[in-house]
Amino acid sequence: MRLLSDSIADDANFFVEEVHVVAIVFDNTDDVTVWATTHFDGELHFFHLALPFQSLDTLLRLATDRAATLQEEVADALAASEWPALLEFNSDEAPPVPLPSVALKLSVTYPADEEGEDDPQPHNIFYLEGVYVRLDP
Amino acid sequence: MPGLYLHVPFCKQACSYCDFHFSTSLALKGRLVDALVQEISLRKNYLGPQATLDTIYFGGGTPSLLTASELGLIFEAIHRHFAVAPGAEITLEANPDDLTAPQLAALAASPVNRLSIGLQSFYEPHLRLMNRAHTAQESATAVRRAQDAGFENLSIDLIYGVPAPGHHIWEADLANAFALGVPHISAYALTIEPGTLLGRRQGKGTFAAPPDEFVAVQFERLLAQMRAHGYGQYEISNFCRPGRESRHNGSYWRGVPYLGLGPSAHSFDGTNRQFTVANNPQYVAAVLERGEVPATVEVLTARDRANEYLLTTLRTARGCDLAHLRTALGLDLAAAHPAYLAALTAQGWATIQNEVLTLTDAGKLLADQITLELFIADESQIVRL
Repeated sequence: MRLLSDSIADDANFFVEEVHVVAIVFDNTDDVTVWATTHFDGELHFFHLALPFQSLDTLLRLATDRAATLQEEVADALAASEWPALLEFNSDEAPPVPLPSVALKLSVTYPADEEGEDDPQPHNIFYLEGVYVRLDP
Repeated sequence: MPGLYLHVPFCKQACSYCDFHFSTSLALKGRLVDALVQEISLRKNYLGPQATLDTIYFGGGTPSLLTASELGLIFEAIHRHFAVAPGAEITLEANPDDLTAPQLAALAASPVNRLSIGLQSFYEPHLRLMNRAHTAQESATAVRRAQDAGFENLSIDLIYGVPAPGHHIWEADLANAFALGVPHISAYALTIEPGTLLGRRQGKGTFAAPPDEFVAVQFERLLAQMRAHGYGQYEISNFCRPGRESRHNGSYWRGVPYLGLGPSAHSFDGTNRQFTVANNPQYVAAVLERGEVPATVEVLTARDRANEYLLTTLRTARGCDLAHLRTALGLDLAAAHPAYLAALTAQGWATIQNEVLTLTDAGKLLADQITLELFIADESQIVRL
């Protein structure tokens, strides 16, 4: 499995599909972080996705038959007395969560170097720019 | 003018924070409506002969579970035994999932002219944590549908202090609420009561309420956002556009008499309080089979009345009228608690102007503790009038 940041051609926004959520991290910051995989250029890639809570809500609702269970698990994780909290979906009991018929529009991020200048090497953390649902013709 | 409260003690499912009296079995609903109709007749003189009602309030439970014909039976009985003032405020609490187009059409055709919709949140995981019956999507669509059905006089309920890593979910909930353009918003802090689902989970260690500081920040943001959007805070948990206060709640806080019907309902005749039994089968059997209302009368002492006045008025923007407390209720608060009142004003938790004690924003955060400190325990502190 490759890192998505190693496979993107430029820093323009781009789409990924066939996304599976493998973890959700509540880390006491402004955003929540999702760890996910996607098939990109025919290969499985791993990436981190930073998104606001409302967008997480949208993603959870698109998880079809697992939506209600996931929403309860997220609520329980939010109610955990200590953060950061990690909800993992990477086992037989809790397999990765598919987001069928969903395309995510992502933008690239760059880690700042010590002088505060942008490093030209993109980060494997992407921002969520939009959620698109494929319509049946 | 007095008000009428009707308790509809049925819910589709139990919200995890709720300790009100309700049943999730709807089997008794029809009989309970019959009993309510009968109780209206039995207690028609509680507020005095031919009382004119200024407010009618259907609370619960979930009154939006009533069908059009059930509502019709109740209104028919009300109009048979009471005069209803022109322009009376008639409120019905509703859950978003009940507000379908047919139900809204039926409500719009009824005398109900104000809906109080229990949204609580627009964030799905929080709705699941609270075990609400509706979805985040329905939170917004129900209000829009109600507006389309002709209900302009709407109130929505929100809950803050729900566990989250930060305050973004609460801020988004507020933004979504303001976008609906309703004239009245009630916002309550999540409280964990023993006997509720969350209370039991907390006892087992599977749920932890957020710390007080977290809730305080959300309350401060609530006040700031409400002001910025033109909503005045007329009571600690209630906000409205100018002139859109809930008349029914205002009557409670001003000590206006009211008649409460249904199991667990309270009544107040201006002197004493009455509590109806909080048990649906017992209530139905007593009213329908024996023609009596199973209730307990609480005789309020002078101390009770003074403490109750403190409790209710300190939560309101009008504040506590110390002159009224002294001359009408026999309690000279300035003499009873001189040091504590001085400390309240020195700390910036309250102001006293023209003999009216009002809590500041900082004081509202401590309203419960301040009220407890001001309560009087000793009847001898009341001057017999």
